[in-house]
Amino acid sequence: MRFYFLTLGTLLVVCLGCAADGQQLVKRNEFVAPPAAQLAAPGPMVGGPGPGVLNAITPAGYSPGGPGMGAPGMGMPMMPPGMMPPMGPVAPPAKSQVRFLGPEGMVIGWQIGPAFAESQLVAPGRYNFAQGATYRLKVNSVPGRDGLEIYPTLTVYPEHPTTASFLAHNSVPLRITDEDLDQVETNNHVTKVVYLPDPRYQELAIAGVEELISTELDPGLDPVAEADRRGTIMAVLRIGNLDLEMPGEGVVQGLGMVGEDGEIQQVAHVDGDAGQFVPPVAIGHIGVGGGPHGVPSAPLVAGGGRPGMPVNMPMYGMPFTGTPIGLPGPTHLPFGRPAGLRSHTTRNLTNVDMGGPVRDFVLDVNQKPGIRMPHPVSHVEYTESHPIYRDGEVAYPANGGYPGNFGAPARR
Amino acid sequence: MQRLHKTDRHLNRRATNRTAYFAVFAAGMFVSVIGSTTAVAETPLGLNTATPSHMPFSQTTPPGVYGHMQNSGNSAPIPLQAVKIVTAGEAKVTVFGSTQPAGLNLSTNETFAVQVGAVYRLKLSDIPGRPGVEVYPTIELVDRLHPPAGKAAEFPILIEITDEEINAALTDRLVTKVVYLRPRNDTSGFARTTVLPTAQINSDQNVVEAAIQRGRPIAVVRLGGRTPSGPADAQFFVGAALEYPVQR
Repeated sequence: MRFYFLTLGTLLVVCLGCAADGQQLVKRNEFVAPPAAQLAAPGPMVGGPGPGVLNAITPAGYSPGGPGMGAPGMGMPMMPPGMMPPMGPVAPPAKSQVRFLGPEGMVIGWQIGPAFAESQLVAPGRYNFAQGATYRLKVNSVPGRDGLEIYPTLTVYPEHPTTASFLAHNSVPLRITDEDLDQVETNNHVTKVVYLPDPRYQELAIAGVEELISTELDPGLDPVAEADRRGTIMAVLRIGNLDLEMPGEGVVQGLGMVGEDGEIQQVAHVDGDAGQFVPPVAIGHIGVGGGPHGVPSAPLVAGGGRPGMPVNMPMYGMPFTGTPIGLPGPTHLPFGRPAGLRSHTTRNLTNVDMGGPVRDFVLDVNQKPGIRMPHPVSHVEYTESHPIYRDGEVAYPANGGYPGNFGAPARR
Repeated sequence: MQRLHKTDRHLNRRATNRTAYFAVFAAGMFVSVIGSTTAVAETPLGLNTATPSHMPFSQTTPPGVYGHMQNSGNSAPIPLQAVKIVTAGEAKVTVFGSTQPAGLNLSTNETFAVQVGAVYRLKLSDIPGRPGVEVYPTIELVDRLHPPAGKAAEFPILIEITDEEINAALTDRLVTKVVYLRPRNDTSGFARTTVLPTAQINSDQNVVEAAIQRGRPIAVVRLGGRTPSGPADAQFFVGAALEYPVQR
């Protein structure tokens, strides 16, 4: 009896193990990939092409370039004369095309350093903004709203692997509606987020963008966080009623000079109506000192720079001034009456109870649902069946069917 | 009433126990079989629910990655493949490439050859019924045909741009289409209302994987509403070597 039970139990365990393919019992066909940026890297935990990697895909998901980019000794495949290797993956567009849909007739300008370039664009119109930056726009001449001038900010997010294809072929639509302007005129702040929803949230079979507006969400919900949860953000437009060109005040004071009438005049005045067009100057960048999404990479945080490249930022904590107050200048000298102070003692009588220092700190990180990729294939069975033709039924290619056998006469 | 002999009771008990053990074993086999064949719920892009394999390419793959991976590790010369653009009515096609940076102006009835594995930007203009409309699709060849010697121009890949796709592109939607070669023994009937039979799938499905299940993908076509910032927009007008007319 015991032998029976042991045998049956062994058979049961073996059958279950075979059915589970030796990987897991519960989640057999579920795989969770790491973040797309990690997948785009050419190797495990490698942030860039390594030596000997031919036509490696850069961390951004694109090859270094087309012909001539292979370094000597890298073993580029020999090409016949005149046959250049293909350009490889399309280089990511460093600019996102933003299409201002309306209101129709709205005039758009943008900040160019200390001043504004006026009338650079009229809605409906489109412009290519560099990715990973924030721009200050100037919107006026809105039909039906005489005298309204607003200064929204437009943040163009860097390209993401999931939005690369979309941004290479489509523009990001932006429309300022009457409801938005009503909210702004009543002192409300409006945030519009344009994002590409994840495929499971797509309503239609053909990919398209969606928009989240702060005024249409429940109070307390962050439209940026909500859009980031639903898909990949491409642009954020923030609108308020702050006047940035008040005389003598505001953010934009410009390189002014006092004119004959005593008023401050801007040195540079760019007006699109006069045929003057200047590209916008970003007022901020996403991911300064770090990755494309603002997360600083480890080498930069440590101040060591990238391997093989000079350090371009001071390391935290290192003194760089001769004064103890952090401002550049000579060593501090006492002012006033002759020095008589011999000692200055500060005693800290504060009751401090902060506990002892932590000796051993443990941080448990559990990423759910974790990362699980299919295991590498170690065995491939390849069976190829070919039809059998008799003489006269087929025509052989010019190379006789042998790769590299150029010039051989065709035979039937 | 007959009293069972001790031996009979023992034999009956053994039979009963053996039956119970086999029942447990059979239940375990049943569970293992069911567990290996139960379909998994819908998974995100990249997972084939029919066959447990991982498809790294989909409609969200950046342009050029699929074609580049098809050519990677291939030491043979990069082949050229004849292509013809088909629209409803004759339109003007401009193909941009490294050998034609200003664009090769053709019509939709003409065949040109492009390299396999590269991405090419096209411009469709003078579209019948759409005056002033210009669209800029890209084509990415991921495989090629094997026509008879000297007859490559007679076997072009037909890439059809329909009015529905142009409408979708003009409304800021991205159309991703995979052209595949059906196997000879494929008897599945498509309604031949267009030049090329077309099947539309949902956005949460992998279009590349769907094409692989139906045949051999040849080309990936992407169409959207973006326009170039100017004639010198090098990042927009991408392309490799071109050949016109097709000579091989």
